[in-house]
Amino acid sequence: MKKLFLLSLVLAFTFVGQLLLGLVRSDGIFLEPLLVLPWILVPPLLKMDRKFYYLSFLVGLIWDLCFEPIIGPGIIAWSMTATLIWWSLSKLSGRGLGVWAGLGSASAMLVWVFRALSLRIVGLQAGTPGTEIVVSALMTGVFCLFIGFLYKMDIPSRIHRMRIRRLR
Amino acid sequence: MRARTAPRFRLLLIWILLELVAAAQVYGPDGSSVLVSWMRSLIQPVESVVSVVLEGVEALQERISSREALVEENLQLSRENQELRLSLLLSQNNARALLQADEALRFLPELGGIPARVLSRSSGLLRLESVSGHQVHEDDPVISAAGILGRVIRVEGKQVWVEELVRPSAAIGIQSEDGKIQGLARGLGGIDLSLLYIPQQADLSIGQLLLSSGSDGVYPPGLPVARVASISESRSPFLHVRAQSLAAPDDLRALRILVFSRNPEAE
Repeated sequence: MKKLFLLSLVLAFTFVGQLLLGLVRSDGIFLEPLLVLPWILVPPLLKMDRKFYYLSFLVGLIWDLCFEPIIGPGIIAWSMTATLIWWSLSKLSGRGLGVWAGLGSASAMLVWVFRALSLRIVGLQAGTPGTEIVVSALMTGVFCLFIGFLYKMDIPSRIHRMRIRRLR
Repeated sequence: MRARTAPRFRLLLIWILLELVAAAQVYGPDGSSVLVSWMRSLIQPVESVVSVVLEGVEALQERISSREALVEENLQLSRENQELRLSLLLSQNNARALLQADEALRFLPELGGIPARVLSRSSGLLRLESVSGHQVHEDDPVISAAGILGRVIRVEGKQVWVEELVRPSAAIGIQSEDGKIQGLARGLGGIDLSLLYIPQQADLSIGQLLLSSGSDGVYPPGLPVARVASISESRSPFLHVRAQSLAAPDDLRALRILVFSRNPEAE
């Protein structure tokens, strides 16, 4: 229960961060990464349970509530991207940092493309130019690389080991 | 293969469902939601097909009803045609009767007469219908184109019953063309007449024409009545003579009823 609460808290924090990036709407390229993407990328990368796939629907719904004029495109974009991530990682054996970065970039691009597609179907303009998508994909890849790096660093166990060393 | 297809199909369904949800929230320029316009565009072909089918059914019904009306009109026209034909037949009969009566009048144009059409004939009795509106009386003589036929014995409106000369109860005063021989002709039930009171010394020959003498007070004098058919002597002072009526052919269709002022004393 505590884990779930912590998970929800981190998810909310991520969305607040994404919302702040969206609200600022600056021209800077650092404001483009999809901070939410690791939520659908990490579970298949860490070979977690399949039920974490459904997290993508929750992410999509919150995305719609926060960023979209209507409910639907976010859920479509995030769930479809999650499906493709799960499928591609079932084919890939490597889980190196390159995979984190490459898959993060590709997934970001897919999110934008699926979002634009679902909005176009109902007659709405996505309003996201191609260059922005590319920049966003690159930034998200970097962000995912950073997350992967943190994971590989295994900071909790390092802290644990440091504490033990101090105690000695 | 089937296990792979099912999740993809499910995914597609989810996408479609979510697109429908999104479309329900987007409103077009006309104020209706995109979902409604999608539904309309889906229904429109079906609606147009249904309307075309309905129009076809309506046109068919109209054609069927117009056909029934045509049949009814045709029947009505057929009935009218039949009535007109009957009317034409009657008119033709009337015209024929008038022509035949005119033919009859050739002999005695000064007497005039009422044209009449023969309705039925049996055993020396004729039923006529007066063509004109003139009043007919009992004992009025009736003539055909050939000569005297008989006399009126009953009148009911335009219908007239005539007793022919050939009936046994009928009789007519006759004379030869020169008036020297006088006698009485009686019907025998067939087409022959029996001449009575013809003296043995009378100069009579077979085929001789006999005219009415007017002595009976019913028939006007001088009209053709019969031709002598046979003559034989008998022990009596009179000849036994048979004559054939001139006005008794079977194809009588029109006659004239003579209206002339009789001598009250003769009656």
